[in-house]
Amino acid sequence: MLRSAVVIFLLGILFLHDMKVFGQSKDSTEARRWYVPGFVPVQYAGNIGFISTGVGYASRLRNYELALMYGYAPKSMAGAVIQTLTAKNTFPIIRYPLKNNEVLIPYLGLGVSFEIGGNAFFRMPSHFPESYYDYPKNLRFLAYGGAKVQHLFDDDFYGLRGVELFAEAGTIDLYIWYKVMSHEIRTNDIFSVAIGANFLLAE
Amino acid sequence: MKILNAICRLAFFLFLAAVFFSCDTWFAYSPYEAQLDPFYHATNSKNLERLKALNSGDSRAFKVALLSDPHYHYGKLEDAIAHINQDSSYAFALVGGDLTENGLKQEFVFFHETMARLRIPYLTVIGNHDYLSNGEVLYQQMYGSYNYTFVFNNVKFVLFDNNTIESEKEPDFEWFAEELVNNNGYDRVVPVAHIPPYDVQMERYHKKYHELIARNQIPLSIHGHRHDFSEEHVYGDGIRYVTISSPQKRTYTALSISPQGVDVRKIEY
Repeated sequence: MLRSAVVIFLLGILFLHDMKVFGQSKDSTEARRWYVPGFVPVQYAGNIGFISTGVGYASRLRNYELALMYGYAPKSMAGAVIQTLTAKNTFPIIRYPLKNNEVLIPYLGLGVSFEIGGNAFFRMPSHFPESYYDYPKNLRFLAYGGAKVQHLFDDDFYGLRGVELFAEAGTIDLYIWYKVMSHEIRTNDIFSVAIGANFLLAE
Repeated sequence: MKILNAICRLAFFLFLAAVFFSCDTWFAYSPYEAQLDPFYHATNSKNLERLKALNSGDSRAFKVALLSDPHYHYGKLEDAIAHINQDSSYAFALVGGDLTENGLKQEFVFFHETMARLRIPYLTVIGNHDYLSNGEVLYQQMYGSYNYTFVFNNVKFVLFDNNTIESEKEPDFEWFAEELVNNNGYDRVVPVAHIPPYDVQMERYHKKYHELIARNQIPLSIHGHRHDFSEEHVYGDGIRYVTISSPQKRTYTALSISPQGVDVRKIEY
């Protein structure tokens, strides 16, 4: 478990390093191109894998963030090898200054996640009768809420301008349906926790 | 400002504590996970042990509650369970498959926790939806074998996995043929399988299924899958094919077996 986490974390750092090099080759006064990410998220759990990472973009007004992530769970942790592609749409609610360089940011979010490791189908297998299932089984919608502490460095540190640590509780569309339709399923039966960090890339 | 900062920090840590301690499953890696907590393992075996204590071993009349195809409808399943719990004449319950809609881990857990409300032991047969995602593995962990038999009050129940499309496998007719033979003086043999033989899932096998039932002079075969109660003599030879309604329709089925005969009745609640 730990080995898998370390390997994936190091891959994330390597990716981060690439982003830094890419950034340095540009004129620092030039506005960030649309495809250059503003942060690299690394997340543990949260219905999108044992560990997930990818690229993140923040709106200029900092009231919307999009994270495009790849998630992985090894068989030893999940009973099957699970791979996901996820888009997380996060909406910071408010920014509470904590001290000089630190801000507390509660947020809510909605996401969409595809399981791409072959554990469920997007298109029905050809031997199924036509219209046997009318929607993809590997597609899940996510709802989550949490808070993060943003810490900005005084000077760029290895291509980073800061880091955010977050913790959130989340669920998926189907569990919400079960909660609504059942008296016995409690709210805390459908939520689980994710923790992670967003590495904020220097301009 | 300092006080505000302190309050914000405290609120943040309280929030984290609340989040962490309120979630039953702290860290969920994926809805498609394929391993269950051992607490949920081997439920059919555990319930068969409970059933042993109720088994008279001789030919006494008894009543079975038949449920099937809860899919999304765990709320309505709860109502069915409450209704069954009020009737002390039921010896046990059989669930005719499709315990889940998508074969997801949390769906199996929701089903298991809902069924834990049932006063009497219950036994299951796998349905085609239970094969979706990693349901095949989860079903086996939670309930055990896909094909098995048990005897209650000298009546043999043969629980048979006859799903073909999602499972991508041929039903084990060799096993089924052997188990249908009444070679121990049972009062009767009752087969239970999710798919009725006249369904598209059994297109290639319906003749084989019926031929085995007819050859062993079995008058009744019990199924789910159709979501509606039905009792049909599909092949015109007196053999009854019963399908159990889904809780979605707010009905279940009562099966009464005595040395004199079998009665099947739709129960509305």
